[in-house]
Amino acid sequence: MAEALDRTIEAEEAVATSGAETVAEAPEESSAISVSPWVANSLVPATVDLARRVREDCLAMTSRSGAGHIASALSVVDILAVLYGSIMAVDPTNPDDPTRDRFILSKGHGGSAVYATLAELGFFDKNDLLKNYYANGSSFSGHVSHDVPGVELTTGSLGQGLGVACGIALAARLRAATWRVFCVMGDGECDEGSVWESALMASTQCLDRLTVIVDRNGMQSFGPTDDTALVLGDIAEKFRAFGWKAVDCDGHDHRALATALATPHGGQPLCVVAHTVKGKGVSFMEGDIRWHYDSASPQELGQAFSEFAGQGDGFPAGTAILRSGGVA
Amino acid sequence: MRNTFIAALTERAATDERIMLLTGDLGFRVVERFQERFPGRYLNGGIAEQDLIEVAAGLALEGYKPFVYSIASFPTLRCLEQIRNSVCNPELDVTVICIGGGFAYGQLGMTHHATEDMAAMRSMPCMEVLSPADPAEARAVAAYCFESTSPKYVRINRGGEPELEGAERVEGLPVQGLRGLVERARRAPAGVEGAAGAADVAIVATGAIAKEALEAADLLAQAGISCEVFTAPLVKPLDAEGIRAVAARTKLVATLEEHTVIGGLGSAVAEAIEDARVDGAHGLAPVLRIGIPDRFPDVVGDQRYLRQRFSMDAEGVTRRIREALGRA
Repeated sequence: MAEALDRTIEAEEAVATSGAETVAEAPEESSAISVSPWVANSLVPATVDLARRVREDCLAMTSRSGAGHIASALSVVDILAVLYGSIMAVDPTNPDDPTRDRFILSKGHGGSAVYATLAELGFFDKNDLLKNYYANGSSFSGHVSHDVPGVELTTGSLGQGLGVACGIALAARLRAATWRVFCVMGDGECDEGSVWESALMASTQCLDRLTVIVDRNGMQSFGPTDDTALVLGDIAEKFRAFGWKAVDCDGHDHRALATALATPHGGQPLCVVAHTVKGKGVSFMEGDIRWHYDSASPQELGQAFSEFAGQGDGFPAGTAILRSGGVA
Repeated sequence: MRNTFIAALTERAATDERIMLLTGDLGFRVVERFQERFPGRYLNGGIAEQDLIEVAAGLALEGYKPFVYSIASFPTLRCLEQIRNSVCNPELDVTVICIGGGFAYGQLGMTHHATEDMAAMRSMPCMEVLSPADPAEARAVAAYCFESTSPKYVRINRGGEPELEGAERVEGLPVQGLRGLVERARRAPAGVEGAAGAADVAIVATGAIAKEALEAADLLAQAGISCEVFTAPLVKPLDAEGIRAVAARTKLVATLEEHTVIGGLGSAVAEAIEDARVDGAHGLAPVLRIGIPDRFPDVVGDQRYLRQRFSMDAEGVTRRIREALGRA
């Protein structure tokens, strides 16, 4: 078991090292915002393990409830794991701590991944989530809800999170606060005109407490983003044109994500375009638009979990649910 | 009224440091007084209403009390979903101010008419809808907004409106007193002046068009019809008890608003009376809704002209009421 774990960490570090080179712009100047020094060797395994557990939770939750959007959740999991596992200051025992870093999931349909991340961190009981996600009478709506501890803003209608994040970042500046605001958007979401209103606002107001991460999984409702609807092209370049500091990185490489998120951006908001794979981590879901809509059958769930075997503690979080017959 | 409201806001901002004024690049020669005194709490968010509302929501989440200023249907219909999701759902203390209610910007054309705004705002859960008739009500509405923590929509005509009859009664109202109907005038035909008893018609008006109701009351009295005139500075929550009491003592309740007859004051009054009937009330007067019919103006016109064209001026109101009473 220990050997297997070591091998996993070794493999992850190898990926992480190569991935770091994909960061388009290396840190080059001192910034008004200081990010805790990244301790790659000790933190990568922790966030990787968090990501694995969140993936299992998401698969179990959506399979059990018949909810869609599993592939959208899987693409954003590593971003969340790095943010919550190593970057953001949050306190699960005090979700409203005024000094906390704020997080907004603007691509609200990735909500299962946020709920699972918060549950893994201890914001609320994970079993409650696994049993009640998407269920009548619960707070765990398919798109994130502010009724859930740790969730700042209900979202689901695309293009609406970034503006609120701007308002929060403006409040931070007015109060000379040290906390930061992180906002995750989808790439398809960048079709929305309101995104670009807010992008202008953020750079005009020099909102350097604000970081946006675009989950660039390249897919939207009908298929590849740039083939089926509007051509998004180089999203980082667009944000740069709107006055932002913007970098690209591998959105599944934890060290690359952490490095990108540490990019100095004094006086400017930061955009990290995280290149991801929709459905990441489950071979038969990766890049298949079907999993924007469908949920895994019990058989497919078992197959997905088998792909995680040997990673982490080797005891998939959803196993208990499967054994208890909770999956229809 | 716009200057009255902004003057009150500026004065209040001196003691309430949470107050912020956000404009969508409108309010030339109106908002400067606030900007000059409180530059740090003034923000021109540009011609970007969707973002403006989101930024206000973010500021309110962090404890600020933002007022968003714009004209026509720009701060309501353009960003209706942002108001719904990010302001009303979390019940944030955001006040949306619209200048140009009804046909105030008449000749500019239909894009600059705010004629469906109250219907849209009324339908938003938790949203309060305020519509002052004269400067006295504008001051009272401002005072109400300073106390209320609900999402609020304030619909203001424009500038230069006179104080209407009964303004002194508004001045004397406590803040919560604004929730009631404001008794403005009572007219009886010559010879029966001072006689007690029910008026033939009660006109309930909201906004600056109440001026036409007061003039209509004179014309009705000349035609032998007694009349009471009320203003409703709060369209939501409407003073349902007051409406019920008025409807119980008159032959006809006529509503007057510079707004489509669908979904505004007239609808609210009719709903209140129908609710009372469901509760078992008998003998309540029918409701004549006077407002803009279900179509756009087909010609150019100033406010006075368009009111006349849609039979919403004093003569038109008089004619409609006489027809409804069978005394044409």
